[in-house]
Amino acid sequence: MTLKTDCLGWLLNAEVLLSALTLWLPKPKRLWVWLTLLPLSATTIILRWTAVQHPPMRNLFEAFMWLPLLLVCMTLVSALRDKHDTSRLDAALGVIIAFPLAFVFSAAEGQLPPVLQSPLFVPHVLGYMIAYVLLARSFILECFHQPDASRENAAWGFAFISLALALGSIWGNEAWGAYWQWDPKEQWSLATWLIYAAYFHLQHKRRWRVTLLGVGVLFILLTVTWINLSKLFSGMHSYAGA
Amino acid sequence: MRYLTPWRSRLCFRTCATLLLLGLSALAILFAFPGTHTFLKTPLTNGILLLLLGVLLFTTGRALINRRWLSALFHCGAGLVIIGGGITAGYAKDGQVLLTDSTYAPPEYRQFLLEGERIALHSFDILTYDNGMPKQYVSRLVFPDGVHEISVNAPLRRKGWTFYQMSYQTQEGPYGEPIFSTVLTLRKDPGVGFTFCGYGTLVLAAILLAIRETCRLRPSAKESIA
Repeated sequence: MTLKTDCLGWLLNAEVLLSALTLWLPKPKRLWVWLTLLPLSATTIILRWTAVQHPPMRNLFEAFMWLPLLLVCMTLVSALRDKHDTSRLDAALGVIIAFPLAFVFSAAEGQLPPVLQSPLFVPHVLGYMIAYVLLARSFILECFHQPDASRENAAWGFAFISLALALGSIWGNEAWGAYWQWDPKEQWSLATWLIYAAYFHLQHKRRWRVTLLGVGVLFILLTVTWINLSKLFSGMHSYAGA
Repeated sequence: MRYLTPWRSRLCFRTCATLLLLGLSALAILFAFPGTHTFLKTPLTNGILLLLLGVLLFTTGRALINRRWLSALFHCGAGLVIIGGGITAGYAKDGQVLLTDSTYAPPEYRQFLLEGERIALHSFDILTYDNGMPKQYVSRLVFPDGVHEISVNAPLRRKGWTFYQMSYQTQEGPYGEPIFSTVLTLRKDPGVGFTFCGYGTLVLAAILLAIRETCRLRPSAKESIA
């Protein structure tokens, strides 16, 4: 665990601080504090993009940089469309996301290997990032007894996870010569997709909804961290942890 | 007329479907350990996939009869993916060729025959970034109708076969100079079309589900705010 002390590092530290602050502030102020993350996280992405000269999605550090921006956008949609302030719940997720981004993941810069130079690179990774944020929100909203909002987030999350999985498979067919290779990350992504498919079959009882959304989030966490980083699961996606 | 009681109905459809899906998830994870790429090769897994295909076709039919179009679209898409996967597992052909970009190499390392057509290596280049890291691998092959280029993420499709740039090897030449060989994968897969149609159907169904949920939940969302 290290403190990043360059310009990008201080912006990421500020994201952690503002997310934590949002958790404790009262209602009218906390939404505005949380919304300051919108320009802040956009700036971190632009800074990184400029520094590495490619869309910052090459590894966990770069992919996680998109999550606070997406989270704040979703808070904004809830606030403007539904007049529903979800900033505290989203800030809780924001702390969980921004903490490893600021203090755990390595910010070492690198070039894109040949396999990542594809028009499907950005839609595949961005699709997964949007899906992960929506599905994590869905779980939190369900835990805090907001079933309608949870269901809507889960439905859009499922659409994006299906799209990203399909795009990944099509990309695999272009790059590796096969659309499915039983690579560990592919299998865990399929297992995650099946969990959410099960959710849509068993969503009439709250007990099932909470369990399946929770298991889904657990699978997402395992897929993006353990499967990416562990030497046990070396495979076609091994560069993702670099 | 025979009616299903509510608990039997739940047991038959929702619970069975969920248990089946969760069981397959567990199976997928079981096979997640490295070195096991035999998922479609054993009678057990073939049986499971055939059973799943049967369940999906039955569910699609039932959904069509009950006019549940979205459910039919989902299960039809999943069925297409499994049919495509089965065709790939049973009928896809593939192989690797290693071609050397050196005049010292014997002719069999510089060309090969594919369905009566002679294909030779014209050149193989490794493009690098300023720091020396590989940026792209490019092989140029000579076909009877001219030279065609293959690189990572840009395969060449020709007469049903697809040529992929997979990797490369280096060896030392007779005067100590490096000799590069390109490794190409050749593949003919009749299942791709079915699988990609299945993906398209599944993604369309998932987007329609999300739109339906948004439209359905909007009035109640507005009431709760009021």
